[in-house]
Amino acid sequence: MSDEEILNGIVENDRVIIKAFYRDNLKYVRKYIIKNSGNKEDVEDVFQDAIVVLYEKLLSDNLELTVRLKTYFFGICKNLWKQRLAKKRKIFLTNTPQEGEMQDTTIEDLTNQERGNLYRKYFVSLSLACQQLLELVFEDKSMREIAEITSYSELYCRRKKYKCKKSLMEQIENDPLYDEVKYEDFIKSSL
Amino acid sequence: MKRTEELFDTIERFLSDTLSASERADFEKELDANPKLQLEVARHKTLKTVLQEKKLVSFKKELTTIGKEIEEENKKAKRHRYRYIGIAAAIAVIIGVGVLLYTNLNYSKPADALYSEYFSPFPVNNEVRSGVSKSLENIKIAYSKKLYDQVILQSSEISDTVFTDEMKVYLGNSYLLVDQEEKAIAFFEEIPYKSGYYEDAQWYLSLTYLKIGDLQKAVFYVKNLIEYDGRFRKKAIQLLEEMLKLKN
Repeated sequence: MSDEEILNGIVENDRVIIKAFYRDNLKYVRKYIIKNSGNKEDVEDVFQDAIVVLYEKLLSDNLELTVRLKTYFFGICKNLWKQRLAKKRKIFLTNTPQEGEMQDTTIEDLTNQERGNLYRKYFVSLSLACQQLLELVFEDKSMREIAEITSYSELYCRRKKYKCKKSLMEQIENDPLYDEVKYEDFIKSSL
Repeated sequence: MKRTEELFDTIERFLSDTLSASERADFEKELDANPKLQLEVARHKTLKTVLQEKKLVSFKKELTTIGKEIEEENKKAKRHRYRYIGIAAAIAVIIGVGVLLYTNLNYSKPADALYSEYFSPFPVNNEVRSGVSKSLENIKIAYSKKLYDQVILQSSEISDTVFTDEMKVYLGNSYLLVDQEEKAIAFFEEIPYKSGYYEDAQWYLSLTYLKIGDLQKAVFYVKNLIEYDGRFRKKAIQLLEEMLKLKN
């Protein structure tokens, strides 16, 4: 499969192509992360977050490959892992890209994507019922509408929503990679 | 800042701009004076902003499923490798004979064998829910202890309208396990498309019909699952292939 076919497959959510890409690249990333103080869970997190980074770039038409996709993708994984290691204060690896490694995704770019990665990681780990309920809440559906869709009572939905959201927020905030949000950012985004 | 249901509701209504003018004025006044509340509002806003990006959330869900599938496939492959090292010769003979039989006799597993191979009871969700009545909790406990008759007995004493989709899956499984397939089907069919248990219900519907030998309906539900393209897809494809052998 060519790089172009893989990128098209990713942006079009072609499950077969994504799975093949996942299978083909996982072993290299696993080897690198395990060798650099990571564990199995780190491998899964970094690998999936790197594909999301790639997907976001494709969606925003912000990807120009100057190296092979495999090399570029491995570069994203390495940068993500270096950044997380630095945060975990386990070890600090200097950021010196290897020959052929990606050049256009900086540590700064990745910092902006880390929050989304963290939130999504915990969201998809919730029960399906919680995910469905919160998705409806984030669509600004009223409790009455949510109750109709889910076939639960309004009271049950309200309580369940609170528990799901509270649990999600606590899980996110307890993660060592969590960066506290700032009210100033909220004010800026609301302007 | 202590998190409460009321606080969450007010913040959400503030963010979705559904507070009344006076409520909004009061809340903004408190917000100006309370840095902890400011932080909490910012957290809710960030969470909402990130998770409103549906394409990214769906993509992450898909990756999680794919990751689990690959892990499972790797585990299986590893198990097989070890097993083969020890008994390679014996397996070779068995496979040889099996292939010969399969080729010559167009062998396929009977429906009940296929059902037994694919069926396993729906696992109990240990998440504790508030708002769930004691009687529903008791049903769940009985189900977790595999007391399926008890599940049915206790459920008959309460109104059907209070059953959650999760309960319906437990009840469907219980009826299936005590050979009351029609009642099992009724419960599974009640679970709507939008439910988080929809895929489970479709899976058990296909198995129930397989158990009673209605291959046409079993195939229908399995195809539904394949089309749904969720976490049951792979199992559904395997089962469909086996069922098509049965039909031929």
